Order: sequence, then structure tokens, then C-alpha cells
Amino acid sequence: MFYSILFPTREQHEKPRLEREPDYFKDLNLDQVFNAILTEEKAFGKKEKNSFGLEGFFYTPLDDPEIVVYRQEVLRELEDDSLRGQIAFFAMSLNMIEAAMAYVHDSLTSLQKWRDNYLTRGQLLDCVEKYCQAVIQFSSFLSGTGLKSAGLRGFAEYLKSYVESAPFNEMLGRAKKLREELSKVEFCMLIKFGSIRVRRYEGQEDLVKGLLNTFSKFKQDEERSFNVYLPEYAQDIKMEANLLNMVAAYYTDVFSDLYSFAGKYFYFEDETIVRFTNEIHFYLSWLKYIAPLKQTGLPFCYPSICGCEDPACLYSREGFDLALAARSLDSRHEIVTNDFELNYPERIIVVTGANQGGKTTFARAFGQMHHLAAIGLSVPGRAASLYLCDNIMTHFEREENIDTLNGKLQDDLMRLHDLLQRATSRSIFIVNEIFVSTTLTDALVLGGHMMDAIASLGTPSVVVTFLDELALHGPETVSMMSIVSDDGLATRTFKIIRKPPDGLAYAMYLAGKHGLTYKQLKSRLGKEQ
Amino acid sequence: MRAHLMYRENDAKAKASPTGLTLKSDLELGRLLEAMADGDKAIYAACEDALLRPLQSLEAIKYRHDTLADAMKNRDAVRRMYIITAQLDNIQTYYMSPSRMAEAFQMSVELLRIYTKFLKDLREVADRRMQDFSSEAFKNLFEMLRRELSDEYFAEVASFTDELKNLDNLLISARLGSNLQSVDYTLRRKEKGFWLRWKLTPAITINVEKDPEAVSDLIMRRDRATSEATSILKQAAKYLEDFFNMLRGELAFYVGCINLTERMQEYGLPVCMPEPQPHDSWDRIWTGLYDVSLALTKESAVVGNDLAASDTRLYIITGANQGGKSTFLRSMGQAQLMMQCGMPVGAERFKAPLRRALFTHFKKEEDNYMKSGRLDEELKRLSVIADHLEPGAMVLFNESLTSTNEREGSEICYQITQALIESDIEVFSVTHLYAFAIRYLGAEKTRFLLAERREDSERTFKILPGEPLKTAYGEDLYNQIFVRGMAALAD
Repeated sequence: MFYSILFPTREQHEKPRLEREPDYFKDLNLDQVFNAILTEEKAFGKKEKNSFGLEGFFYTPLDDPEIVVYRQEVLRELEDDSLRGQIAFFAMSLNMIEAAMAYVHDSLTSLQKWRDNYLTRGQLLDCVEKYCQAVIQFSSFLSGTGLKSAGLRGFAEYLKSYVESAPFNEMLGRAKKLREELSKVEFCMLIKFGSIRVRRYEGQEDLVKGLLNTFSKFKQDEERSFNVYLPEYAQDIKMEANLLNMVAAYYTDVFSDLYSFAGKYFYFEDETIVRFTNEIHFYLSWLKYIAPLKQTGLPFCYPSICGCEDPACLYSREGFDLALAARSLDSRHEIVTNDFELNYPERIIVVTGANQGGKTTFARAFGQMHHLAAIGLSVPGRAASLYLCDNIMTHFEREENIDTLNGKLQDDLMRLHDLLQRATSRSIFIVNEIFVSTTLTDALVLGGHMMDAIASLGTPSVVVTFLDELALHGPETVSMMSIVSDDGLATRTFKIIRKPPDGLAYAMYLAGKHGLTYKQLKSRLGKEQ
Repeated sequence: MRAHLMYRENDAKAKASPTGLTLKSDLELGRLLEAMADGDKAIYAACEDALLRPLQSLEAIKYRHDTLADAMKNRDAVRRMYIITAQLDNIQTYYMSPSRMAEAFQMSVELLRIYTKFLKDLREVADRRMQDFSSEAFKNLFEMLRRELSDEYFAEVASFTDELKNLDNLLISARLGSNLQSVDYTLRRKEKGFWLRWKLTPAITINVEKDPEAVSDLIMRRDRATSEATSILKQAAKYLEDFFNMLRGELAFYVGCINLTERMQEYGLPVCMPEPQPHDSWDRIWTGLYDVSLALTKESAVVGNDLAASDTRLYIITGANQGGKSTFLRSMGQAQLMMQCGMPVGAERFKAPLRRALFTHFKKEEDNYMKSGRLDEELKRLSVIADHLEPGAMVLFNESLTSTNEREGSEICYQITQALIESDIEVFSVTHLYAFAIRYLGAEKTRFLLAERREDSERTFKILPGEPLKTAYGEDLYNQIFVRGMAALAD
């Protein structure tokens, strides 16, 4: 029996989830990504957290590759624009009904007695009608669509049997009949200054009908409508409620039917359907977020998942930093993509090379794609095979914390220690510039220890460092470098490639920039001679 | 209700010139239109539209000629009607906004009243002057006005405008909307004695002082009920406005023709009704043909040209700089367009065939492009013209293809010209490309014209038959400006 579009089973759904952002969100800039996803644009450019309660789903890495596949299948299917459009429309319709019903419940249970009135019950009837219509339409749409993913197929089957069920059809029938009766109600108001009277409509003639006919002979080609949209709701809702009471007095039978209908269907929505229309936004908001990036030509893919026992081959082609790409949308900076590949026994990527050369960005991209993969989403890149991690241990350089009164080196070590304590055999490590505040000898020793510890975890990791020696730590390490172009100016390319460490890269870059390379100098000096 | 002063009823509107803007600037039509408009934008627009939609049948032109003759004869009545419709410019537009519905309602009623007055004025002109007109177009117009704007009709209009004056004490019907809110507010007529029945009906009475929310609620309800009436009233007003605009547009062309004729008469210049010939004719006769826009700029008489040419496809005009070649070319283009929209022409006589379309390709002055860039630009414009060309069209070239050297320019120019005339396109070519021009010496269906230059170097601005001479008279110009200018200074 279908339960959730995010989990194959109810038990999986009921497992606890993280309520707060994981610690690594900040370092990996995933907070930027998910804040944007969890936020919707309200009127006047105001942004607000949306109300679907999806935080936990975005925060919590999955421990079961089966769930990852369940989600990937749904997401892949939702990439179809027309299917997604239909689903989004259905979800939005039900989200709106849910919001309207919250107001109805609030009114009918309010301490302000006047709010318990026919008008509120009319709103309930409206919600029921819209709900039935949306559910029927969507169910018939889904049944005509060859769905592939287990999730969507499961929901389609659930919806089909729901729509065919007796209670649903009884509700639908009663709502229809009631509306039919109500649509026959027609009345007249006499508005004089300070008072309003109501009687049944008694066939009085329309005052302005025929007016336009008198003038239509002057009509030339174009027709333009001058209708002004005046909202058809009352300014004073209390007045409207009183008015409706006066109308009800002329039509007592119909309104007593309405009263009992509202009693019976006070709670009419199906929980599973409501859950679906909330949870589907997990996928919709993600696709919406990456759509403009895809439009600029950046690729996204569905990674295959390596089990925890077997990190035989990890790779990513044309991956990139998602948060950076999203920020660059306005500025139209070109986003540089990078590849990596780890073949057993390789596990640790050590990145060295020119400053400002994209090393941190590379490390972030590595972490981001692992988190995204672990919650069942698509990841930046043309193709990828990634490790299903339970946690990402990030150690990024931080401002010195005055409160702790500790030195920076001490702070570094304490954080590292803490991370190693919490790490499991499924935790990824990402270390970005550690031990910069000590002597090179110290740094080398400490760095070596750190490499030993990370290597003993046996999980894929990235270490960004200025210490070339770490790149040669052992068979588990792979050296990658940020490279500069050999155009003589050492222009940064933001490309990170597999390459043995080359201690000169950064110095050469600076020298080239100042025109002080061997060639440049020879040439300059040559002219002086 | 439509007036059919420009086209006979059911006749299709002529096709607009595909390169209208270029025609307008190359032929200096702006001056001409300003004189026709005499400060009235609607006349300007109507005449511009007419000029740039050359009629394609002799009957259609005849229809306008007859209508114009009638208008000239009764110009006071035509101007009177035009002024009635032009009062539209003085009506302030107002917008319907939800917050000012009552105001919009009253403005709409008022506007209908004003427009009804205009209608009555038009009826009066029709009543008094109808018998003075003899053209089909004007007779039909007056008949229509008298038929549609009867006394009974004005009474019917008054019955509505009177009823809708009062906004108090409204009877409104309504139904229940999706949430059972009241919707579909409709104003209802209060029958006699209705108050007797309503008096005892239960009422919600509000405290006007203490409950401003409820007061504005009642106002909103009233606005909702009157908004439909207001939009209908505004729609009706819009119908009338469009009707007046339509009539104004139809009259505008004739008022413009009257204005222009009167101006030319002031300068002592002739204006004639042209003699259009069928499309397959290749004969032209012009006498005293002058550039109307030049006359309007100089505010005096200008030189006219004469010729009678038969079976001619190509006119090559060469000769002195500043010798009146461009002016001649413009006068020819203007006359062609004026003839084909049924206007009088700036000449003593103008007899010419109808042309499917007119195109101009004039050298652009003050070009800052590099040579290659300029040629590229020139050819691009030529290509646009070629996109629209068809047999029976007419092209005026003014120093085309001079943005490259004479040899290349002549070759391209020859190839283009030859292709055009062989495709039954009439070509007038003002050119300095000697190599191009002399290739047509002795050719069939070609006429050579020359900017006249007397023995004493004095230019007459006359364009006369004559074959190309090797040099242009740049030196003359130099002399006139430098030598004469110095002499004048010495005096």
C-alpha cells in the first residue's frame, strides 16, 4: 500500500530525521542551496520559508541505496515537463485547499461566535468541490500515463482506488446536490444610505441591458473591454455573513442541508494524498532550483551508488560547485567543471596548486555531490558514481575564535579530533587548508598523522593543502592540482587535474604575473643590454 | 456605421508601401504632409497613410477625384464636419479604477451627453447641405447620417442617460458564489409602488458615524452593481469615439488636399488633377512638374520641368552637381504617389501610368563608414528593395553605388539596372557613373536627361533631354561659393 513518495515503506518514513542542518552545510555552502530551495517567493518579492515541512528530508542522508533509487526514479520521471506541470498543478491545487481548510477549521472553532456562520460553511463546500474535482481529474490523468517509477505508480494506484471508493463518491454526490440547490437562490438587495434590505428576486427588469445595443451601430473594427475587475468579495465579512443569514431565512431547507453537510465533512481530506502533495515539493523545488542552471548548459546526472563495502571506483565527469553556479547565474561568469576518478585502492584526493585556483571549490563540489546523492537527488556533472555516506566531516579554515582563547593550531587540532571521534566507517572527510598557522615541520608531522587517521577510515576523502608531501602519503592518495595556463601570464583556469605535485606552480604564477620568469627576464634584460 | 469617402464600400484597402519610411524621407514627404495637415495630427496621419498606399485601379482613383471635386466645391461644409469630429481632441480621457467607480460612472454619462451633441451637429450639416453635394461618396454619407441619426434615435438615447443619473437608492439582484458570497450584482429597474412592498422587509441598519467599515462596505456593493453599467457606458462612449475618429480619418484626406491646394495657389504654383494611365503603359507626359516640398520649404515658386516620353523604361539623368537632379527625381516620385492616392499633383500637367509600387534608393549623405562598409550598407538596402520588387514597379535611384570606384560601381549598377528594366520595372537613375551611363547610349526604351548648364555656367535647375557629359560641375559650385561669395562680400 502506497504511503509516501519519498520512501518505499511506511517504516522507513517513520525513522527519525535530522531537524537541523548538518554541520557540514555551512562549509560546503549547501546552506545557500537549500535555503533557496526551501524558500518561496511571496508577493512583492518577499521571501518566506515554504510550509511543506521538507527540511528533514533535505538534511538527512539515506542509509539505504534502495531508497536512493526509489527517489532517483521519481525525480527522473518528473523531469518530463508536461508530467511535472500536471503534478505541480495538482499539488498546488491541494495545497491551496489545505490552506483554505485551515481557515475554515479556525473559523468554525473560533471563540468569536459570529465566525461560525453559513459563509464559512460555504467555503467548506467550495473546498470539497475543488478537492473532488482535482483528485478525479488528476487520477484520470495519471491512469492515462505510462508511469515508470515505483513511487508515482504506487500513488496512481492508490488514487485510483480512492476515487472509486464509496465514501468518496458519497461526498461528491452530496456536494453536487447541495450546490445545485444553492445555485437556484437569487435575491434582491435594496441599498439606501445606511441600510440594506433583502427579498427574493421577483423578476425585475435589468436596468442597463439594451443600452449597448443602442450604441452598437457606431462600433468600428476593434472591440475593447472596459470591464473593471472589482473583487467579488465583501469588504466587511461580518456584513456579508449577516446578509447571507437574511437570504437563508427565505431558503430554510437548503441552508439546513448545508449545515449538516459541513458537520459530516469537517475533516474530509485523505491523509496520504495530502502527504503526497506536500512531499512532492521535495522533487519539484529541486528541479525548479536547477532549471536555470541546466538552461545555461550545466549538466546534472543520476549517480550510481557504490555500497559502503565496495568503493571500488568513484568518479564524476564535469562536476561543479552548485552554490557557486547558482550565484553566478546573474553575473554570467562561466562555470568551470572538473572531473575526478578514484580506483581502488585510491581513496584520498590531495589537492595542491595555485591559490585562488579553484581548490576549495573543487572540495566543496565533491562534498555537495555526495550529500545530494545521499538524499536521492541528481548531482552536478555529466556522469557520476558516488559513495553513500552517512556524514561528511568538513574541516575548513575558520576565523580565530576569540571566545575560546585558544590558538589557531590548537583549535584546528581540537576540531580534527572531534571529527575523527564522530566519524564512522561510512563518513567522508573534507579537509581544507589545515595547519597553516604553524611551522612547516610541525605541519608536515601533524599532516602525516592526519593522513594516517583518514586513511584508516577507508572512506573517500578530499584534502586541500599547501603541503605537497601529503599528496605522496601512500597508495590511497591521488594528487590533483589546480593548474595555470602556460600562456606566459599564468592565467588561472580553475581546472583541477590529476598531476603530481609541483612546488613551483604557485611561485611561478606570481613570478609570471610580475614578468619575472626566466624567459621574461631574459627578454627584458636582453633589451636593456 | 461607416463613411466610404476613401474607398467605395466593399473595396479592399490598397496595400501599404513596404518601404514607406524610406519613401517618406527620400521624397521629403514630411514637408508635404505638414502643409496638408496644417497642424492637425489626424490629417497628417490620414494623408501619410493614403500617400503610402498607392491605389492600383483607375476606378479607385476616379472615385477619389469625384469626391475631392465635391469637397473642393463645398469646402466650408467639409471643414465644418471635420471640426465637429476634431473636437475629440479636447475630450479628456478618464480611467476606470476600482477606487473611483462613482466618478467614472458620472463621467461616462456626461461623455455620452457630449457625444450625442456632436451627433446632432453632424445631422444638422447633413440636413442643411446635402443637396449641394453630387458625388457618390458624400451623398451616401449624408443619407446614412440622416437615416441613423433620426429624432427617434436621439429620444432613445436620452431615455437611458436620464435614467442613469441617480446613484442613490439602488435595487440590486445577486446570486450565491463559490463560497456563498453574493455575486453577479445586477442593477434592476424599480417598478412603480415597489417601496410599499419593501418597506416592511427586514433590514440591516448600520451606524453611519460609528461603523466606517460597514459604510465603505455598502459603497463597495454599490460600485460592484454600477461597474457593469459604467463599463457599458464607457464601451458605448468608445463606440462613438471610434465612429468620430473613423469619420475624421475619412474627411481628413480631403481637408488635407484642400489645404495643400490653397497653399500652392498662394505661391502662384500650378496644381492639376493628373491623368493616370493603365499599368501597361510606358508613356509619360509632364509639364511644369515641380518639387512640392521644395516649394513649401522656400515658400515660393520653384522651377518646373517638362517632357513627353513614350515607350520608355529607363531614364538616366546626369549633369551638374546642384543642378536640380535630385529635386527632379523627388518631384517625379511625389507626383507618382500623389497621383496614385487620388490627390492633385504639383504640375501643369501630369500623365503617367499606374505603378505597382514605388521604391527609392538614395545615396546617404554624411556617411561615416569606411568605404567597404558603405558599399555593404548600400547593397543591403538594395537587397531589401529587391525583396519587394515586382514587375510594374518603379524605382528611383539617386547616385547609387558611388561608394565604390566608378568601374566597379558602374558594373554593379549596370547589372542591377539591366535586370530591372528587363523585368518590366521602370527606372529613373540619377547618376555620376559615366561608365554606366554611356553603356545605354543608343539603347532602346531609354531617355537621357541632363541638368541644364548655360554657357555662363549659370544653373537653371532645369532638367532637359541630353546625353551624359564627362565631368560634373563641382568647379562651378566651388566658384559660386568662393569667387562669387568673395565678390558679394566686396560689394
